Amino acid sequence: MDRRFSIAALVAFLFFITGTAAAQTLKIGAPQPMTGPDAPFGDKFQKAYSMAVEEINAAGGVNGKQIEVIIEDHQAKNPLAATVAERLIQQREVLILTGGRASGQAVEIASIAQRLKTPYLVDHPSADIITAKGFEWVFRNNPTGSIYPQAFNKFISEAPGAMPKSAAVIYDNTVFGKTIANSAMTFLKSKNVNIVNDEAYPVNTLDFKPIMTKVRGNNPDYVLMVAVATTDAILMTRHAKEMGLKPRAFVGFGGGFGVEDFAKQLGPLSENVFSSAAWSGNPNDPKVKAFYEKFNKKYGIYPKEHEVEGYAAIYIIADAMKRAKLTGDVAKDRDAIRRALLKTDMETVFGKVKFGNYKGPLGDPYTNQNVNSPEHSVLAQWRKGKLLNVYPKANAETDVVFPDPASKK
Amino acid sequence: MNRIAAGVAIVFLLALPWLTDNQFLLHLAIIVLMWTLMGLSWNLLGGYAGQVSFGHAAFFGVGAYTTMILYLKVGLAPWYGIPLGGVVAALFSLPIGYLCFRLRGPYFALSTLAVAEITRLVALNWETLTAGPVGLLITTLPDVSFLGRPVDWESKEPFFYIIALLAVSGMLATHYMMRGRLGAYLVAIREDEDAAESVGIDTTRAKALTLAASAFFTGLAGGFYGMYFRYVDPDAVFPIAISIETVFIAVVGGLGTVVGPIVGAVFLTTVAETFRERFVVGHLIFYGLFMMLVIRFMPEGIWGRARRLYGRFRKGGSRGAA
Repeated sequence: MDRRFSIAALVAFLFFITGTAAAQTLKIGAPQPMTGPDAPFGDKFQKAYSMAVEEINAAGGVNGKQIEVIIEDHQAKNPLAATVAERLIQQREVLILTGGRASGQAVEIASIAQRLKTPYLVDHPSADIITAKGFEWVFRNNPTGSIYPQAFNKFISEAPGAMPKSAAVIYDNTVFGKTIANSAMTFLKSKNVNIVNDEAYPVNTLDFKPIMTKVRGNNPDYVLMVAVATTDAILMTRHAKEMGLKPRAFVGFGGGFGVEDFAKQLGPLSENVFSSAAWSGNPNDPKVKAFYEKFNKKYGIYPKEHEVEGYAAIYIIADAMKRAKLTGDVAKDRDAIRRALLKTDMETVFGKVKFGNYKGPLGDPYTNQNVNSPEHSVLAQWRKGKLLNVYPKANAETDVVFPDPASKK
Repeated sequence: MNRIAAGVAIVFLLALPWLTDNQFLLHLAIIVLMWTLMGLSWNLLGGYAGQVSFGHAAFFGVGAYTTMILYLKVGLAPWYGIPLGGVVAALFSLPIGYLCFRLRGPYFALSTLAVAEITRLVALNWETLTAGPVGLLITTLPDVSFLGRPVDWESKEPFFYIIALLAVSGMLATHYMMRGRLGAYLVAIREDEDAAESVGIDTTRAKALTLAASAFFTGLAGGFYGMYFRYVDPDAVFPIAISIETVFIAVVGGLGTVVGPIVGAVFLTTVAETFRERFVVGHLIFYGLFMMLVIRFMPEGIWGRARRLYGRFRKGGSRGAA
C-alpha cells in the first residue's frame, strides 16, 4: 500500500515539474486534432506552423518579440474544441487563435472567440456558416465550401462546348459534401443543365455500384462527385468506371480527389479525372515554388493545401501583430490585432489576403472573408499520376484534356 | 451525517463562482456537472436496474436538438426549452423501451447502440428540421432578467447555476426514487430478473419507467449542452463517444450510488485535462492505461471503493485496533 502510494506521488510530482516555463512571447493558439482519426491533419498543420514560426523568429520576430504557436489537441470533438479554445484564451492568454481543422470544431471555436473577444483566423475549415453569422472577431483566409466549385463553373461557362447537357451529382452527406453539391447544382440549374441524379451517400461507403447503376441508366454528360474521405473518392471513381460510365468528364470535388493515394490506388483509372481542387497557392509563382522546395527539404514531403494554409496563416497573423500597437494588456492587444486584421492587405504563398464583407455564391452574407477567395479556386486534372492545374489559364500547369478520350463519341 | 455532507457540498457549489474568478475553472466545473448529470441518469438504469445502455447519446441528442429547434424556430426561451428537451427525450424513450426491453443482457445493450445510430442518421438526413450536417448555431440568447438584474449570457455564472440546479435535482431524484419501492424493484431486477418477476414485480413497467426517467435527465443535459455550446450537429451530439463516456463516468465513479457519478465526472474530467496538458500527442494512451487500472483494481468504482474503505476504517476504529 505504501509503495503504491509513493509511486503515485512520484508520478504526480513528475507532472508538475515537466510544466514548461514560458518566456515572454506573443502567443498564438491553435486547436488541432493531434490524436484520433484526424491526427494526420493536425500533424500537417504543426509542421507548417513551426516552419513559419522559425522563419519569422529568425528574421527578428514581431517588432523584436518572438512568436509562439501553442497547439492543443481537440481530438476532432466539438465540445473538446470549445474547451480547448476556452483554455487557450483564458489560461494561456493567447492573443489570437487559428487552426481548427474541421468545420464542426471551427464553428465552436468561432463562437467562443466571438464571445471572449479574441480574434480567430480560420486557415482551413470551409463551412460557410463560420463567416456567415456576422462574427466580427472571426476572419477567414481560405475559400468557403460554396466557393470551391467556382473554377469548374468558369470552365464550363468559358471553354467552348464545355457546358454540360446533363449532370449526375453524387456527394457525401457531410457539411462539406452538401455545401459543395448545393453550390454546384445551383449554378448548373441557373444554366438550365438537367440534373439527372442527385445522390447523397454516407462517408465510408464500401459499395458505390448501386448508385452508379442508377446513374448509368440516365447516361449523364458529366459526372460530379464530392468526397471528403479519400477511400470514398477512390471507390466511387473505380465503381463508376467499372460500371461502364462514359461521361465527357468525371469531376471530383474535395480532399479525396486531390491526394496522391487517389492516383496510386486507381492507376490508369485516375487518368484525366478532374479535381476541382482545394487552392494551395499559384504553382507558377516562383515564391510559392521556393516554399514547396524548402518545405520538402525540411520535412521530406511536398506541401499541399493544409500546409500552405497553415504556413500562410502565421504570416498573416505576424503581419497584423506588427501593425498593431501592442501594450502587453491582453484584452487591448486582442482588439488591436483584430483592428489590424481588418486592414490586412498582403500577399502570402497562399495568395492575396484582404478581409471584407460580401455575398457568397449561395447568398450567404460573409463577414471578414478573404475578398480574393472567389479567385482561390482551381480546376486540376490527373495526368500520369500527377495532379496538374489546368484552369483558369493564369494558374495552369498544362493544357486541359477535354472531352475525356474514353467517353462515348 | 450524510445530510450535513450534502449541505456542505451544495453550499460549496453555490459559492464556487465567488471563490474563483478563473473563467476556465468555471468552464470545467460546468462540464463536470453536465457529465455528472449524464452519469447519474445512466446510473439510474445501468447501476440500479442493471440494464446496460450504450445508446444514451440518442437521448442527449434529442434533448439538444429539441431545445435548439424550439429556440430557433419557435422562439421559445431555453429555460422552457431545456425541460422540454428532457420531456421529449423521455417520450422518445417509451417506444425504445417497449422494443428493446424484450431483449436482455448484451442483446439489450446492442439494441440501444443501434437505436442511437438510427437517431443520428435521422438527424443527419431530416434536413428541414435539423439542418442536416450543417448543424444549428445560435449566436445570441434572449434578454432576460433574474431578480431584477439582467442575466449576462456571455459570462459563465448563469450557466453554472443552471447546470448545478439540474445536477442537484437529478441527484435528489435518484436518492428519493431509489429509497422507494421502485428502487427495491430495480435492485431485484438487477440481481435476478426471473425471480423478480415470479414475486409479482411488473419488470417491464419498472424498467420502462426508469428508462424514461433516465432519458429525461439525459435530455436535460443535452438541452443544456445546446444552450451552453450554442452549436449542435449530428456528429457532436449523437456519437457513440458520448454514450461510452457516460458509461465510463458511472462505472468509474461507482455503479448504483448517488454520489458515484459526480466523483466519476470530477475525476475523469480532471484526469483528461491534466493528461492533455502534459502530453500533447500521447495523452490518450495514458488515459486508456489509467482507465484499465481503475477498472482492474477498483471494479466497484472510486466512490464504491472509498465507501468500503471508510466502512472498514470505522469498524476498525470501534474495535480499537490500529
